[in-house]
Amino acid sequence: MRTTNLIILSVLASSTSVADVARPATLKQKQKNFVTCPIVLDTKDVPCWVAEYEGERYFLTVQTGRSNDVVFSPSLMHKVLVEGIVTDQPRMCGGIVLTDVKLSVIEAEVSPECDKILPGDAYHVTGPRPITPDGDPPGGKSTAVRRPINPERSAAAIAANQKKMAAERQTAEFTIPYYFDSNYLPFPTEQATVDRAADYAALAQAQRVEVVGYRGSVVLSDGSVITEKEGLAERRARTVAAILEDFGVPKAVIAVSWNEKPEHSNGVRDYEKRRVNIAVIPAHKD
Amino acid sequence: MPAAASYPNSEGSLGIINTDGAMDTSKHPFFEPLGSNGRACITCHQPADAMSLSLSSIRERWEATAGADPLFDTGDGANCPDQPRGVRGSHSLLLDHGLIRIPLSWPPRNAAGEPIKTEFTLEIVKDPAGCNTSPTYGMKSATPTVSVYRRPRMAGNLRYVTTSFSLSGRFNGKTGEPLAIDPQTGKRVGLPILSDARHPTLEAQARDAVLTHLRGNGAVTDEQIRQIVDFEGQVYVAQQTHRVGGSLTGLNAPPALGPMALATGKSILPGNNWTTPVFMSFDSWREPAGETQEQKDFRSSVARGYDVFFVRPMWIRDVAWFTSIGMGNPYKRTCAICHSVHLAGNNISPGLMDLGVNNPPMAPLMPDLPVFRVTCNKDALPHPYLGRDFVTHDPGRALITGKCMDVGSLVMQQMRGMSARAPYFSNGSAKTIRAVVDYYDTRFKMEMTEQEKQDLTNFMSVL
Repeated sequence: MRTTNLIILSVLASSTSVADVARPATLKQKQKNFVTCPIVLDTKDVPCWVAEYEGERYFLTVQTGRSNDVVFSPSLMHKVLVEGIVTDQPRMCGGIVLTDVKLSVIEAEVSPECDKILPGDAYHVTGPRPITPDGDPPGGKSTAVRRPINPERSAAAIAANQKKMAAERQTAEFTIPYYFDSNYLPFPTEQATVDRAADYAALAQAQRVEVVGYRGSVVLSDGSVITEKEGLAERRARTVAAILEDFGVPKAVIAVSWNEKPEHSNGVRDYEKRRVNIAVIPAHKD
Repeated sequence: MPAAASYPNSEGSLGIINTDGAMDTSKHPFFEPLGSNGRACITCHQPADAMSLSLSSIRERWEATAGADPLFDTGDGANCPDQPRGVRGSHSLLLDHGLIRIPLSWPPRNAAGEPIKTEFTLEIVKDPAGCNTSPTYGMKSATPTVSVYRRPRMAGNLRYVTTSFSLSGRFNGKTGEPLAIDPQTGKRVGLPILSDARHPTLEAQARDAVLTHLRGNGAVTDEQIRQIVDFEGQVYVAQQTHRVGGSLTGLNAPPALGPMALATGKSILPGNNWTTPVFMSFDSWREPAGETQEQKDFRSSVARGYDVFFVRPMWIRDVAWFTSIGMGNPYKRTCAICHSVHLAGNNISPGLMDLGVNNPPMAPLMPDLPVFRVTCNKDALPHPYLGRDFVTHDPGRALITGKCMDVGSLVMQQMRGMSARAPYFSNGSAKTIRAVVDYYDTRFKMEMTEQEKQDLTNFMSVL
């Protein structure tokens, strides 16, 4: 019997526990899923992204870099799918703060009506602005902070864990999350997950690498359901498999499959259904 | 060629350093014709023009030779090869805008030479140069070809250009696709070379340039390619003196100025930070010494211009492969967020992006250039800001990948030696440095004051 050790290195595996935010019984009420035009506020220090839904403003994120943050920021000229959980934290930029928030830019069409930049008014964003790998960027220095690195997620810790797992011939599983209707692997986290899977396949001399693609749907807060486009599960799986092969995983050991039928969604953490799972199965001991 | 030389230009002089010392250029493949049209690499990569080719040099050669100079070979030095050589109208894009014709297979072909199924169609809306509708050389010819027109890029300071920046070492951080592999070394490489990054290495670029621009017969040797690439890697250029600002090097001069700073500097340091700022410090010119008040004023202006470049925020928006990769659109940052490579001011992350210089409404159309209508397939991702139906002078990277979202994307250039190599942007649309400044001011609604514009212009003129 093989031992399975789960490694999840993903944007969607937020460090914020759902249990910290709301009990399961009320989670569905606190989960807000909607599609709308994002709005950016020209706030002091760093711009602030919000969205309006049913007459209420929601705070989404401050402007980030992709280098040291997990939020894929919205885009004017496109609508955004907001999936987040309402908190009772103090409002930011006039908006209710969502946590565990996932923002999917609706890339399939350009929406010129989404073009609103508002004055920052009196709002002063005091949240952290990440310092990127190339250092402290100029401008708005007052809120720049270097986020602490979780030692368990450091490259050295992950490498050491992989070495241990390979020695024990453990199967490693990786989950790559996706933005709605997207096959894009952004920097840094999603790309790093594929990197680590390829690293482990080499380290463990994998006899089989299973790549399974999924697509999902989202139950919006108005009760309607939006479903990712057909064929996306296959494209996701094939894309990841091709990258793994490019990174040196022998084609002969890669098994690609997909589940075309969208998995059941209920409006709570529906984003977890949009994914590719990779299982790296080491060669047996002689 | 001496180890160091200086060439005058309208703003002062350009300095050039060959770190390998003085060299005999005779028989050297960078300087000697390798094909049938009499051109060498140096024909379009002139030391006096910061290893690029200025419009003023092109016109001087036209006047001096009545169009007989090998530069005016009709293969790519005319609007189309089927136009008569030596007639000004045949060379109008070169003589008016400094543009070389770049013929590219349509549809694009992959490394194996197989046609790529494109995500978009191209329709010719206007063809003032006449080549895309040419029965012999156009899109409906026996060998369907798209002709776009681009400025020669700098063949100097390339140490700062050719190394890719990838934290993983394997991913193109922007596209989420694997980086290309150099077939010679087996190492991953970025996409820093040529406007459309169609070749992954300087070696590949040199081979193709010999074949096309020089009309080579395929006889170029590995040793010749090595010599060309070695030379390109040891040449550093930068403005050295300014007609008002005086010497740009020496005691109390800003440390990033002059070619020696590049020759001795560390490459690949990201510069969008306070630790290794893109062009280091201009503090010594904030209250500068100077021989005249005019010189002091100019140097102060340059220092303020660096501040505009480095710390003045603006709303950067609708730039495909920059604001479309998750940082947000718009993105409020400074010039240095994109022009981030230490000492060179290019981008290697990789540097492909669509600033918009070829596409309305991000830029006005130029009356002399071809106009293509791009129609993206419904099942493809559209261009993130232009959609599925728009026009462009140059589809850029999409002519290599066939992807709609790549239309208009071009590799960003470095910022050194600008006073020696006007005009600017890939299509030569900015005839002066001030025109570059004005473009950005309009494009990103910067609302710079006249003083800020002049300061930024002065700053760029001394790089």
